[in-house]
Amino acid sequence: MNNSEIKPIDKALKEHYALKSLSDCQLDQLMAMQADASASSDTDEAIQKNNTAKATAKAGLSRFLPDFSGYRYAFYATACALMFVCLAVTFTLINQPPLSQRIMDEIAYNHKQDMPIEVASNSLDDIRKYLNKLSFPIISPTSLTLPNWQFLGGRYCSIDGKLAAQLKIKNLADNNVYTLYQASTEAGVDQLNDLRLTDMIDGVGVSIWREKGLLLGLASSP
Amino acid sequence: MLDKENLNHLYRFAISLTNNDDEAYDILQTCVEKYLKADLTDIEKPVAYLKRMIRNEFIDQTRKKKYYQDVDSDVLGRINDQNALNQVSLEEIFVQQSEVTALLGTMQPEEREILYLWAVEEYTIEEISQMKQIPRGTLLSKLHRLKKRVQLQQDSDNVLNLRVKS
Repeated sequence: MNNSEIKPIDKALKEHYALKSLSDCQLDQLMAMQADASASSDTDEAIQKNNTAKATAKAGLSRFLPDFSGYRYAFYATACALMFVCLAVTFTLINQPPLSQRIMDEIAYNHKQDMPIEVASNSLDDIRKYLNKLSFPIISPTSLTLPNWQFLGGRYCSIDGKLAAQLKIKNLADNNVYTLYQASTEAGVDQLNDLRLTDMIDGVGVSIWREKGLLLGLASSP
Repeated sequence: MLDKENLNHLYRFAISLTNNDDEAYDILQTCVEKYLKADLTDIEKPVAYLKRMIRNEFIDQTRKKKYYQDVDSDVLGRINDQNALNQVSLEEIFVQQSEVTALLGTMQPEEREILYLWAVEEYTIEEISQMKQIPRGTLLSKLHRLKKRVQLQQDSDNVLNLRVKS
């Protein structure tokens, strides 16, 4: 055993690995691989530059939006959809029924719902006290004179998005129960004046009129 | 572009893993090919990037289980004490130059790689731990085990030498 050969492991390893190197042939091969790749990359870059130059020369929207060609179909589709929505909204607004007709429809719908009354009383005062959140006092319509008509009760409802009263009222002559609606005229129907409109909607007879500054509606099932 | 010095540097690193010149060249060639196909603009440190590629390629080509051997629990138990871990000093190992090749042949690829990074590239244990993403304690336990094995091997060789001389 030769003691002069003994050395710390790091020095021994350095010396060991220093002796390892690629042969000239292997180095040439690896260098050639890199040179080929570099030449190929230069060609690709030149082609890409050429394509980019052609693309930027395009006229129209592409000039302002470089990537426009990529999403032009989405752009056209969105424009068509927006146009369609605008037309549909305009058409709906033009063909909307008049306010009085919409209110009569709403009254007929509410009547068919046949919601139960919240307060049961024959006294208009009692019903008025209970429905104290209304912005108007409930009235007794002149056309529904008390000897022939009897209040049964009432509840809150909505007419044209506003709080209104829905009263059950009985015609003592024919024993039929009607639904009487009362709403402030803020809910619309200024154009009613003193006219009384009557219509049959979905099997419900509906009448609306103005009285003492209120909008009144009467609904009955045949 | 990688110069000849860089290529030799990477070749030696590959040898530290394979312990075989031809296999090291094959892996290096494969990785250089893959590297040239990659988007080079994103690669800031080509040599470090290629080292990672070489390690991954080597792991792909060999059995992963064989490469990443878990540290024996009994070894970990024996050197669990922090003082013992801090005492792992590779500088204390002395070897004969003529035995280096044989000694490397007895080691696991990962052990050879760690030794190469420490001895030839002169990284600290802390740096190797970060580079290879191995917890410092695990790395120290591997080195401790390696050191003990080398010493054990040297002792047995000395006994044989003495017997031959006597």
